[in-house]
Amino acid sequence: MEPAVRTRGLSKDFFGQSVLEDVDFDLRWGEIHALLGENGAGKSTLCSILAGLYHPTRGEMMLAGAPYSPHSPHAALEAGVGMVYQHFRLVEQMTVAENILLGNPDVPVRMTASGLADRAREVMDRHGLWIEPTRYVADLAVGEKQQAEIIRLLNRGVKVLILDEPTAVLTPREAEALFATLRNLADQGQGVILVTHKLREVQQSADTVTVLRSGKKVAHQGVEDTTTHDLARLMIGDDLAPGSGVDASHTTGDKLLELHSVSVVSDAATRPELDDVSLTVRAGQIVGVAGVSGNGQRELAEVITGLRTTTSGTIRLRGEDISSQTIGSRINKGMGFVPEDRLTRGLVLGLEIEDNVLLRSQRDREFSIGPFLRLSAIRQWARRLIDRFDIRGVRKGLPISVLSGGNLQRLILARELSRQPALLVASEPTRGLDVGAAEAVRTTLKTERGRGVGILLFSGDLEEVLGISDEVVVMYEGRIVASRPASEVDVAQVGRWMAGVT
Amino acid sequence: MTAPAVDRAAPRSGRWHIPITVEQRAASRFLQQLGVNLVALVLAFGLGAILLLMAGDNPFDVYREMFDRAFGSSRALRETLRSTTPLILTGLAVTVCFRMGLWSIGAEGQLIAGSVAGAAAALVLGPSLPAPLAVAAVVIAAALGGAAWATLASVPRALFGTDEVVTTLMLNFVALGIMNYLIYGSVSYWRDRTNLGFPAGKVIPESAQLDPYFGVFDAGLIISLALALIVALALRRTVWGYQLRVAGDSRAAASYAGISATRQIISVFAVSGALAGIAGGTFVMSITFALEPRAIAVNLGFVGIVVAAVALLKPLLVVPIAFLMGALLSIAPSLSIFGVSPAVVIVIQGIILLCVAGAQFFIRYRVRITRVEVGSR
Repeated sequence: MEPAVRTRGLSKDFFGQSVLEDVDFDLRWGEIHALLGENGAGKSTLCSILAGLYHPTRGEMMLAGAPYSPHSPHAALEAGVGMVYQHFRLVEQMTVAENILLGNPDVPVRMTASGLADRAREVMDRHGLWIEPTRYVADLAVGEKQQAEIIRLLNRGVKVLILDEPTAVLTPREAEALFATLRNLADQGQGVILVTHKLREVQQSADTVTVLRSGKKVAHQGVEDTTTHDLARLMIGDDLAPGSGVDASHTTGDKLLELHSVSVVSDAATRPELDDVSLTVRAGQIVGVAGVSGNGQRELAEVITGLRTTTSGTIRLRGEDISSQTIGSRINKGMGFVPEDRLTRGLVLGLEIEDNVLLRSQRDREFSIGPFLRLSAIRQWARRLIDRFDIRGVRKGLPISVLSGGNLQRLILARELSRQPALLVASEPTRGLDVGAAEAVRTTLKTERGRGVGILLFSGDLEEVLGISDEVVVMYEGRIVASRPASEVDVAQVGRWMAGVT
Repeated sequence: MTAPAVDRAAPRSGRWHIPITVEQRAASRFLQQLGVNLVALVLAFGLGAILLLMAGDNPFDVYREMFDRAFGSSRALRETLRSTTPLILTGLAVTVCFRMGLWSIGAEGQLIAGSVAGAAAALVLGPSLPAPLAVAAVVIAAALGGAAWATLASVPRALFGTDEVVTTLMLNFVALGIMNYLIYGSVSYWRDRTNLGFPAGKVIPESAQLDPYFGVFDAGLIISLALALIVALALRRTVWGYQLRVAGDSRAAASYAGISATRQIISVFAVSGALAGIAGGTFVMSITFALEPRAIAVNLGFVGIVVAAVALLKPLLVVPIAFLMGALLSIAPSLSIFGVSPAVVIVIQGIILLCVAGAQFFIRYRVRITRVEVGSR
């Protein structure tokens, strides 16, 4: 039988830079095929070409044995190739049924709500999937939205389903449900391409894996024939970062950041965002904040950095009360901040790299004299950061929105760390990064700790928190429910605290 | 994992698709920009010619006449440049606000406030000051007047989030009402009291009147060109301009960078108002020589929005666009006398602006015809 998808010598250049080079890729019917690679390895580009979003610079594609070169996502969909993006293509204000049938040429112009719901049910029954069709998309959980998106594509007769990092937005339980759905679809004969950089997911769910590195295919094999270790090596290359445990000799110093009974109450009717939070970060210490997301971590980071005001309590930096100081003066006193919303808050995507390295330093003597910017100093500084932190894809005269996600993340870290902060508040600094890059970030954080920087680390990755912190703090419903040296706790115990069990 | 979303397929037409790829240019060279703009102008005049033929006019005659009346004599050129000066300034005023995402449409009212303040300064200080100082006094007073008028809208915007579109628009009418009252409704300081039966503004002293150099352009144009350069440099090379650009791109990033939204909004509005105010001041000094409501309130503030938009909010691009717009404005009344329907002239103006605006797309993007493999469907 002809393979579902076959590409030969597929290549793509952006601005003269090759992002995909001579890729031969085969997808069989009825298999889940993982596409593995680091950020910027070319996974998304390959999928975007298959889904008709980009055109290949060179190379050819076959779909079920026939030549295939979609000129638009719509044409790809008509040919039977559909993609589930990280940001869903759903209309929030419409019901599930309306979304599923939206744009379907067979649906009559006028149709009653119940008629639509029946049609949607039919589609779902056919594929063994279920979401109540009369619910509004805005009310769905993320995992359910993703299911709705999949159903929508199946309704359009999609035979090859591409999912771009589908688990990035899912809880572990939702991810399991997704994998069950995909297995079910594969058993019905669909071809499924799963883009990921998580090794565990490949082992857990895929039949076959293709590994991309720097735009080239480096491996294509059955999942049973490989181990996580092999895959990691293939993905990152031989320069695998050394593991943790290099933090033997560091001493913690004076109290750097002290919070005393800090509360934030924005609405008296609901529970406070932060409730009587006290904690201390010393120089040369990493304090890790664990907790299920939405339990006050964001508010805590914002109140410390000045984006949010306290309702009561005091925040001291090196003994000085900074509770009511502006963000600018906190920056001047040596507070670095890697925010959680890196694309909307941490960076200015529409501006160039020089403008982005300058963010938060624009009043610094090094970069401005009175009202004037020192453009050449800024340019040199940008060049140094690009070199030192290996930021790739920067193009002169173009906004940084052309950079890949991993490079954007490196850019923020480069900027905040290179300002030599006394205190660094880092929210999810490794989220969305691949194994190698995440490890590099952790190593950098540890190096900074060795230099005497106090670090407050917020992370949803429990292993990360326990792995590099000296002190672990657990948040639950806006309160700190536990605070222990990292060496005295284990994952299971912290997990219980996070769930509110004391 | 976001690859640049600049390579998109053209929409299908019927069962065929157009084999065209649109890609963002990495950088565009000056000559390229010039070339694209020239092609746009040629295209515009071509389309206009078809229109003129349909209206029964000889396009060559009309175009020659248009050209003569815009640039053909030193008198024509002087008229064009006189319209250019205020348009550069209101264009800059709009540019500054829009770059920060502040949708001020109050340049008209700020220009009027600048005229009133500038005329006052000329009448009070003009008689006792030598020419250069009198001109400087008028420019400063006009800038302060315009800035003050803008502040009426900016303070509520910064403190309470009042919609600036509504406040700036309404303040335009308030400014116009006040100016009309000063001349037509009262015997004010600005009014010519020698002939109360015929309401008119009091003529400013000669030391504050701008004489054209070589009979073509006056100091107002030099001031506006200098300000265009200063605004361009301020945006690129000052902390203020940097903060403005950051806030214009992402308010969240601006607050993260410690930029005070309140202060930035008020200062940006003040600068914008000052630029529009200077437009009013120079207008009084070089064209009306008095506070003349009917001559001053001719929508120069609103046309400034068009200038800024066509110039893609780039201060240096505002200059040529204002020049083009100034030429079109200055020929419109005389052409209708020439026998061409005023409606046709307005349509031609529209076509020219549309083509120039559309050309900016081709400066930023490259359009290529792509090969279609056989059997691609």
